[in-house]
Amino acid sequence: MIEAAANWGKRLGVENYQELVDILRGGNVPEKSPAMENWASLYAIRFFESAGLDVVYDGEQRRVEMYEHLLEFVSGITVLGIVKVWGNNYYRKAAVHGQVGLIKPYHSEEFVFVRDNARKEVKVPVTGPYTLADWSYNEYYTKRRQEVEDPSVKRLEAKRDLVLDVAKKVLRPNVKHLVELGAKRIQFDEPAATSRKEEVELFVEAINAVVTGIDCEFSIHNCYSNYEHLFPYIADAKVKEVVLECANRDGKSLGTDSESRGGYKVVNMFREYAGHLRIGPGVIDVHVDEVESPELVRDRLLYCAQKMGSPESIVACNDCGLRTRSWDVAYSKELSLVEGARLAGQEYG
Amino acid sequence: MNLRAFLTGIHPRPEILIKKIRDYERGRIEKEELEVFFRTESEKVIQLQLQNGITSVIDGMLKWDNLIAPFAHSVSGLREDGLIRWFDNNTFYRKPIVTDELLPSGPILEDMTYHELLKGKPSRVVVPDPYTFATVCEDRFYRSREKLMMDFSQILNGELKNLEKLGISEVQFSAPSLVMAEPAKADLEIIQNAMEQSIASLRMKVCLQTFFGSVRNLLPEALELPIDSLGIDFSETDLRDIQDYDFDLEVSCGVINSRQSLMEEPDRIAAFIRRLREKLSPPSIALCPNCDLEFLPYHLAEKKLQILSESLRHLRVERN
Repeated sequence: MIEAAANWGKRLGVENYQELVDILRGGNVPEKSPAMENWASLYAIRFFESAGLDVVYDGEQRRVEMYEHLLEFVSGITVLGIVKVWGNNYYRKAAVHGQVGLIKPYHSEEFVFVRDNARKEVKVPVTGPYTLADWSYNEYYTKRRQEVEDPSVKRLEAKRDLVLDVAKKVLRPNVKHLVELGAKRIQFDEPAATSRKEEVELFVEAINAVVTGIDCEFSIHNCYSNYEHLFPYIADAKVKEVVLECANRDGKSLGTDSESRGGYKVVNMFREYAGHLRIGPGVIDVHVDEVESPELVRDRLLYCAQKMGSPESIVACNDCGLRTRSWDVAYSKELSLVEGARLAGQEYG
Repeated sequence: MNLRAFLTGIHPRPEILIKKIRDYERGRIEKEELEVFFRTESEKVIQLQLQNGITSVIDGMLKWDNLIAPFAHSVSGLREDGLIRWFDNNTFYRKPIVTDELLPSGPILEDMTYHELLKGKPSRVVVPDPYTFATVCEDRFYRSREKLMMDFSQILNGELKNLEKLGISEVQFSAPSLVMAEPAKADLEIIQNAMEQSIASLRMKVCLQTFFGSVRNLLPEALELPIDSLGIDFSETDLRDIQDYDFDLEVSCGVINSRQSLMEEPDRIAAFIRRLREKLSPPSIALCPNCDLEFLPYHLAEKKLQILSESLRHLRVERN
């Protein structure tokens, strides 16, 4: 660990990294302390900046995970236990047992540190209202609809009640607080948004309930699901950008034709239904160690730019978070991302 | 009227087993040690069912990452691709890509199932129905759903014949794709043919368990399939939508919602079953969870199994 701190500190140009190395050498380092969290955050900020990204955050170093982390800030919700996500990977799932509300704003200290230490533009990732609701067992709002006979109607009505309460009573005040602290870009992480076709309209309604009237650039991140469900509703979302996982489902051969770039079919749909949005079609697969070549990244981006009709409509990004990769692999992937974007940009002069 | 109860899929792994799998993946323990834990925990799941009055037991399917994985790993002609959502859940699987003709490459379910622990008891195995299997794959070889389904059915038939020899007495075909939307009319005949091929020459009891959608999407065709029991997810199906059909087979009632933590009340379940009996008049009824209990933490799955057991007791007392 000490060697890693020294090597990465030097490689990333982390200011005063030797202080951390000395602390670690001294031993008796508490596993969790604000000072250590600050160091982790700083290393991650410099990680992305030194790789060459234009918009950064701190890799959510302080957060256990995108769902569980914020539960302590939300009233009416209790963790019940672990459930499977895939393979042998699990998350701690909560039940909504009362009306939800915001106990106190979250991500504030984390954001202030990033705001004060980042040298590039900052985008804050925030778990979106639909996902927060969808990933929880919905006990309270279901009980309120107990007398509805049709079970699927009961489920939908209870879900709607929960999602909109999460949007209005939890997310909106939290987002307002982040904007007051200076947040200029916020991304709603909404992996659950396209789980159910009949609920996508509700997801968009919830996003709009959060953001309406707030002066900030908003984006949505969705992944590992059926993107066809997004349309046409996504066109009505009051956001500037939609970021998607695509590399995971794409081929590995070079080429800017449709056969080579099967993972990016969704871009055609954006062009047809929501051409006003900027798209971030993931060009880096975050679940494999194989590092994409810059040329592959370039071709993926060029294909998308051709489909959308303009390079300005496309943002180069990862499929999702890099937490399952080692730092060595993750950094190599980010270098490839940046170089690939540069090569793609060159094609446009 | 015949009344029984059973589980319908993958049981949640207890934390000790989750930890041991991680240890194995990180090279901290050998396969033989992991196998001991799989076997011990499977024995516990079997005992849990017997203690709760379950009349046809499964081994818990603790080795199964998902319904498809054993086939994706072992059937020749398939390779696994990127992660994709499992229907409308917050769970994911690696999508199998069909790259060549599907051929068996050795017994699959014999290794995945603790059939020796189930010997001497009425027991069941859970497999994907051919239509569901075809819809969750990406077919780059056959370019024909029919051919894909029929070849997969043949593999299933071989596997089920083998398990029948090893003492398994019932098969459940898990069939969410059949009810999440209405299958295309053109597919209905293929579904029938694939089901017939899957169970050809078997003496096992055959259950088609539908979930994640309303069974009305498959009526009346479901009632013409060569099955002994039709499973219905009553967290998605309104009884009023199906009461005009003739149910001349066992209705396997998914009255325990595996996707919600809210605990059902046994007397409300019993009242519902009385209403169902009155409306549908099936010759027999089974009580079960609507789908795999693995959508719940282990301790809540245990509680739901107890509720299933109490509901069964309520109804048996009434019957007697």
